[in-house]
Amino acid sequence: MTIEYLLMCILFVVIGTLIGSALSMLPGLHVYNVIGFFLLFYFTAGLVLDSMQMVLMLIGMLVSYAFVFTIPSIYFSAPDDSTMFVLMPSLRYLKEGRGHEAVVLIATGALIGVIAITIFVPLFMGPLAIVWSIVQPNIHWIIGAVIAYMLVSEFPKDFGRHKNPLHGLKEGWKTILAGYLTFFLSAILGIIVFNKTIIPADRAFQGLMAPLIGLFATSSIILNLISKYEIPEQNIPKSIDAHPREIVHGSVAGASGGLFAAFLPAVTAGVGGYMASHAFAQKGDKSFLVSMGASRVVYYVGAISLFFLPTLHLRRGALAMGINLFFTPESVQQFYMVDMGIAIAGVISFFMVIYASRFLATRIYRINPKVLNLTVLGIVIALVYFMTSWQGLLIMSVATAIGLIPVLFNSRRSHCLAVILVPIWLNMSGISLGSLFGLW
Amino acid sequence: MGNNPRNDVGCEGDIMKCPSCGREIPDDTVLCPYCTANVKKRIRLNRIYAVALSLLIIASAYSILSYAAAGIPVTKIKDLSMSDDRNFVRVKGYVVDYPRVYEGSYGVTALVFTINDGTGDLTVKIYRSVMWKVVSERKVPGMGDLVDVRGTFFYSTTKSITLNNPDYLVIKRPEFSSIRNLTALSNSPPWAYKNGEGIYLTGNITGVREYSWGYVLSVDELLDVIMPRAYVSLNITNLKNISSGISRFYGTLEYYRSYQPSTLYPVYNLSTLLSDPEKYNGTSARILWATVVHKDEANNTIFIDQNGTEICVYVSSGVRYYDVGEHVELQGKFEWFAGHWEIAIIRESDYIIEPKWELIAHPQCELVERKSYEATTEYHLYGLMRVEGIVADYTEYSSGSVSITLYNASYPGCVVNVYVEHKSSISGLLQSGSKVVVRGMALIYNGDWEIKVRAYTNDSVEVIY
Repeated sequence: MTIEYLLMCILFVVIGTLIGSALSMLPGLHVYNVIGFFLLFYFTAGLVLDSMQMVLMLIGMLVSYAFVFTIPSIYFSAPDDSTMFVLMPSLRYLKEGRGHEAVVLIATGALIGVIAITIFVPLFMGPLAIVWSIVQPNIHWIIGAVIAYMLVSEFPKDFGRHKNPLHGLKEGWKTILAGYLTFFLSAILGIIVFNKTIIPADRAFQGLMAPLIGLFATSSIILNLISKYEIPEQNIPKSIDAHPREIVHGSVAGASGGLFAAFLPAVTAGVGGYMASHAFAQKGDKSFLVSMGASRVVYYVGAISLFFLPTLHLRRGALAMGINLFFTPESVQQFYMVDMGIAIAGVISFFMVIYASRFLATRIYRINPKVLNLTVLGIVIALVYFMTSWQGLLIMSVATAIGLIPVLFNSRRSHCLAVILVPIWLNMSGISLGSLFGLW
Repeated sequence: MGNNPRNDVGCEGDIMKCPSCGREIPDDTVLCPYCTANVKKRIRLNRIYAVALSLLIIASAYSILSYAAAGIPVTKIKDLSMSDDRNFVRVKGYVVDYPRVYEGSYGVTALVFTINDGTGDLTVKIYRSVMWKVVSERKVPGMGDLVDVRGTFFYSTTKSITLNNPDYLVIKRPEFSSIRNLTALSNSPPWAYKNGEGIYLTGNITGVREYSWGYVLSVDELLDVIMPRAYVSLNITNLKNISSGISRFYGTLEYYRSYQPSTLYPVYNLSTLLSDPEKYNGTSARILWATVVHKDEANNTIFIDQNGTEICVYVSSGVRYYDVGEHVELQGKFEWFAGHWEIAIIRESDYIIEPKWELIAHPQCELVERKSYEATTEYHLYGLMRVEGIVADYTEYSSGSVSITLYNASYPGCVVNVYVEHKSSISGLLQSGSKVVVRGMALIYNGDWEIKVRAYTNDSVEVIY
């Protein structure tokens, strides 16, 4: 390898990071949707660009997305499946004028996640391969256990005084039943979307975009429109309210959850981080926000690191699958280059998210939240229409209706993840339910 | 940003601004009464930025590592173990088996061959898109080639490596020396050549037999050339093309023995046995190379000669397969029987075979001189002929071959003998009285001319009516 080639690789990482950072500011746009188009372009002009440089550019995009998507999640309240958990605590921060601090906490978690990936993944090369060989034949059981955990861990909530004991019982169980209804409807939507290409066939690779945006983004935006809140003037602090112990605690929990999610299909960063926060007995929003940042980065970026990790080459996540269409990881040298790319993209993305947040924090309060939410809703609808046509809008509408159930009944939004978990779990268990819904 | 008063966090008399939310709070407070943030114990952003910048050190370290990482070292096959499973490895070795293909309803899906580096065997697998690139770059190996291959190692009951890129397959072909006398080669003893020796020769394909692993091409009826199915299925070798004239075949020699005995007795020369027969009486002996000089089917015996020394061999079954002039290898009991010394092949571990040299073809076979089917009444050995005639008689054999006697007044005796290697070469319904056009090769069989319609070539029998 020559110095020129190495410098070109670094340049492509930077280009990918800048493109990814810019696109990740758009609410509702997932980096995987964009990467799909990049791959289509690459396959038509594949001979022009070196495959390793293309890989590094895509990694730059992915890392920046893992960092920068915090911005639309917090300031525009348009989360994806893995940032939905930070919506409530970050909205509280935003209402206190501490939106930037929330972003810094999440970005710090993400930063530690990147450091953990680049330092610890190579060190645990051997053990990870052994763990994978044990986990691999039991994946469907583990996903089943995750689903069971999600369902069982929701218990009747006591909201305080009630008219009578029966009313208390009804109120307590209402949220659970709403959660189960959300889970059931999301699962059916997932089975349909996974088994039938409803959107135009040439956009089939964007099949999950509409349901995910509907379940998480548009439902949140509609909630914001209903709730009529005000965004106060935001403060730009020079320090954050956190103890190093909280940062470490959150990072370890988040990284563990992210690694768990990166290992397993269907389990996303949110669920992984959420389960890890239970496992590590996390308390408080600060540690939770840090853990969610770490979890998200370890999930997205860790998956690509595991794909290039010698002895493992685990193909998990849409980017690994996309890269594998034109590239097969081979040497330790490539793994070093990927880790180099992750580190460079990590540091750029961190400062991008900090400065983007500072920029928005000083301006966002001037915008009427209703106008902001309506604008974001318009952008999201336009994106879904552009990517998936009117069929996608239809799916998004259904998903939005399902996504509003937990919002209206105060149950967990994590049940919406059944849209991914259930069909993949059924598929891996060898159970076919498509015929129940007249799909074949 | 600089004009925003909330950015200036600090004391203003006994009032300070909360560093988190920016609201004014008493300066002796620990927790902000508005946002509950701890005002005293905080982490400065500069420290977090410093941690972020430390990533640049990690990036630099990885860039140095990737720059300095050397090429992949060659690994011995015996050293590949479970810990290398799915690792990218590099192995060098000789191809010890001819390439095989996996074919299904979707066509050829994989190309597979085995290499050996002196420490063990390793299967190399090449799938679909990479396989076709390997074919287009003429990188399909032949038996005896030295290959340097890099790919993903899979540890299983058999060790295998999957090639991901045609560039990671480097082939060094053996030196091919010319063989001009096919008769001498076919009559050569096992020590005349070395197994795996690279040679090339020219000749006519006089017969084609198909097996699951490939085709056996008889060249000038003297030498069998083994054409692996892989070459035909991957369109590297076109049987119809190379059978339409004189072709050149490249490959490696292999001494073919149809039977691999489970027990090997000591090798003796006939002269040694017969110089002191009493000493060797009852000895189990192995004779590597001898020529059949006489056959007595009634008594199940043949007589073999080795360098002028003859002996009787009793073959308990199958004596009819060994004709005078053929070379045999045998293993049996040397003993005195009915007034003479003989070798008796009667026990389960005994055997008699007709070993021979074969050529395992390499992919670069080529047509040297094209011939066309000529409508002539004169026979030329290995000439391609086009003959019209009326079917006087025909016999179909269980093996799928057909022998036809054609009536044509232009030929000696008004008869043309046609031998069809496989009935798939016949188009139309063949019956006595049919008029047919035969395209085939002129050969001599049992002293008579015949036209052989070779299978899987352009030869054919076309039924006119």
